[in-house]
Amino acid sequence: MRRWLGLAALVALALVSAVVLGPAHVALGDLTSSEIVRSLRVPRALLALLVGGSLGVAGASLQALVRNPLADPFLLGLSGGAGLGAVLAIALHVAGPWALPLAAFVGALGAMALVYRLGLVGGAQLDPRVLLLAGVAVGAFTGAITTAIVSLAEAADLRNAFLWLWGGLSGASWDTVLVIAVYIPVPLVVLYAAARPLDLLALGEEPATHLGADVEPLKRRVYIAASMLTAAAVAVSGVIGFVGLIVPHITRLVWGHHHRALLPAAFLGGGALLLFADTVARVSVAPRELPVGIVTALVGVPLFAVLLRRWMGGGPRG
Amino acid sequence: MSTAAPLLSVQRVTYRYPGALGDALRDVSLEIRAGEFHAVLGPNGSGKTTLIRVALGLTTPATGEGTAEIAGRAAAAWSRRDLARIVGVVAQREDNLFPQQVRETVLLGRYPHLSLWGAERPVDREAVTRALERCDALRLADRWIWTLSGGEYQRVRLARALAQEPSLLVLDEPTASLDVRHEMELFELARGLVDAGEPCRSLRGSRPAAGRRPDRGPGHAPDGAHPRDRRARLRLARRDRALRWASPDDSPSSTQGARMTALLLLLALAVQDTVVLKPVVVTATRVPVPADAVTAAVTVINGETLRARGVRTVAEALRETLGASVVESNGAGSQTSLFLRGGESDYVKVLLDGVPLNQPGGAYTFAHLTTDDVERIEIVRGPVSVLYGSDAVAGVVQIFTRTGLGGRGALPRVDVEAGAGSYGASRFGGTVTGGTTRLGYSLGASRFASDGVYPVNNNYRNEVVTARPRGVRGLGPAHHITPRDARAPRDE
Repeated sequence: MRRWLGLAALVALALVSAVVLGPAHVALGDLTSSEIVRSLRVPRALLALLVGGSLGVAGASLQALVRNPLADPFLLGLSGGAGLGAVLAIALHVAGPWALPLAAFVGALGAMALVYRLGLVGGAQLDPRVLLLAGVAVGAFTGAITTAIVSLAEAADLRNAFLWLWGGLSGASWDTVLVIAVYIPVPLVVLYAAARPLDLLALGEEPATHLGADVEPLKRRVYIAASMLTAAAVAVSGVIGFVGLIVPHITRLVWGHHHRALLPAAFLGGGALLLFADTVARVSVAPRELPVGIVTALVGVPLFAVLLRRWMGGGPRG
Repeated sequence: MSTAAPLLSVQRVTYRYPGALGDALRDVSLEIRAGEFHAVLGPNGSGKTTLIRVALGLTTPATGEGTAEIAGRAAAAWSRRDLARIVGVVAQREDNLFPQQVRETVLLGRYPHLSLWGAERPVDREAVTRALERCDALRLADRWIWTLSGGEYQRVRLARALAQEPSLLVLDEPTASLDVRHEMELFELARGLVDAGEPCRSLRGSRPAAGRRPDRGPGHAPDGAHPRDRRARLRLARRDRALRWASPDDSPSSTQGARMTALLLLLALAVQDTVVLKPVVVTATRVPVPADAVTAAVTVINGETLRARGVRTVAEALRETLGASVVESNGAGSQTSLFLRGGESDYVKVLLDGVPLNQPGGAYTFAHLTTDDVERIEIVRGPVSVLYGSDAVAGVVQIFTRTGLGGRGALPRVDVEAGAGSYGASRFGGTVTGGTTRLGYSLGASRFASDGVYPVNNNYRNEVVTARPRGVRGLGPAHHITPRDARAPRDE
């Protein structure tokens, strides 16, 4: 219980600091009435929470699915597909506020479908190893096309495209928060329902089957749900690395390999990490912004190292 | 016992993996009922795991290639969750990618009993504790998996299968990485589970496990066997060496309402070829070395084979050795010399249990040296003067007598022989050997007599008495003494 309270406190602290801190000074008394806070900081903070949480959950479930601790939501080619879609939209000057997220979303889904199809080459069974390889291959392929387009594009477009590829939450608005908040519960529930079988899957597919898991449907469900989460995250915020890799590990150190606890914890942990990272990205070099992906790496990796050290020295239950 | 459907039934199954050249299973049938303990033995790759895959519906044989049923229903028709409540499997391999504690991993066995959203109930916790208790692993409950030894880990995995509260336990090569002691412990544990008959309940009412391995029954049950000792027509493809151990004396205590457990054990046991021990040679290098590792030309003659062939004297035995020519000047008992590789007969060192027999100057006559009580003869051809002095220019012949060491103590070994032939030849003799690992002895006596082929001055009589007590203290040097007396009067 103490662990959950600690995590909740962490999320609350992250939310408060994200709302209070920023390039523009807002007096504490004016927080509720300030337009900056209401239409910029609060939706951005909520979006960071949702996106970070989605990435954390997607990463945790994909690591269990492909049974590889190095798995990351973007390792399965989604970032490449989303980037291609987004860069195409920018290069073709598609207008409209939702053009970019939609193009990225469609690109991510296309990459997901391609990887999924490649994952089935061995027959009727989804092979996690093939899935990983296919993800890397599709990512490289789409990355090549993206680079080709960027290298042929005009200078202004180039900058936009690169900024987008590095990830950022500057596009946050109440609309995006609303869309994401309506969208993500579905894959989250699917993944949470698969929590126990995911525990079994860590033993290997056949032992999991002997313990009563329907491995084939499970793998498909988890892959599609986790990819849908990632696609949504990448559509609204670009490619934010490390959250989906490090947060599951950190939460696993604290809660153990027990997905009924791990998935919620990864959601809250991912949200908190992205909130902190986004706050740092906004404040540190104000009035300019750092790409938030850089900050997640700078914050997350040392944190991970410290926890890993403690874990190796004593025990995660400490 | 009853007419109920067997827990597991495989009927005439033939299975071939896609793309494989040969059948993994060919016409295999197996039937397991409650309370039975079966073991399928076969070398690696003989299809044991495939049998389980087919039996549990993980792979389905083609139509017309046999059927697999669990509790009367086609194996493939079961949902995995329902099946996991009936059959618990300890698979051959599993991964451990993420850190886990023992209690957590055993709790995974409760999965088929949990609802989709519900948390673990106290019942589940109790089942886990009970399963750990039964596998003598309760004290490991809070350990991390990776800190366990191989034997402890197997017990934990068995506990996880027990936490499923299955009616049938399948252990697929559970002892593959275990030493003999842990292997036996696991067998005893498994046997006890079947005897107890109720994996999910307390041990009350269980018979003492008595630590038996699967009783080795006949490959096929004779007609008078226990009625429940059903014959499994089991033939594994590639090598038809699979046996079946049934348990004819199997009479589990069937307390009312208790669930019976059956057990299927898959073991990688190949029929082993006889191990051939290579002879060890001492003479060539003065330390025991396997014969094929000695650079000198060495021949080892086993005393056992000599006696079996009726070779009476060492000289006769040497006659067959390469490079050795034995010259006997006359009939039995006359001057007999050994010329090794054409060297002078004086230049062969002859040793009996390390004691030189040569006369001063190197001469030795083999006339009266019999094969009585000889363990083995080592012949080194070529110069070994460096080791044995100037007598050993042409070679060394060393005779070892039996020690009786390593015997079973109370039961000495007695050999008696008697024989007779033409020219008044007769022969009687006997030896007694015995001892323990520390002390050994051998005693022998024999008498040989012959009138000889010539009418006069040709009679020969040879009476031999040998004794060799030998003691070993720890790993220290052995002490022994070899009195050997041969009286060989040659009548006029």
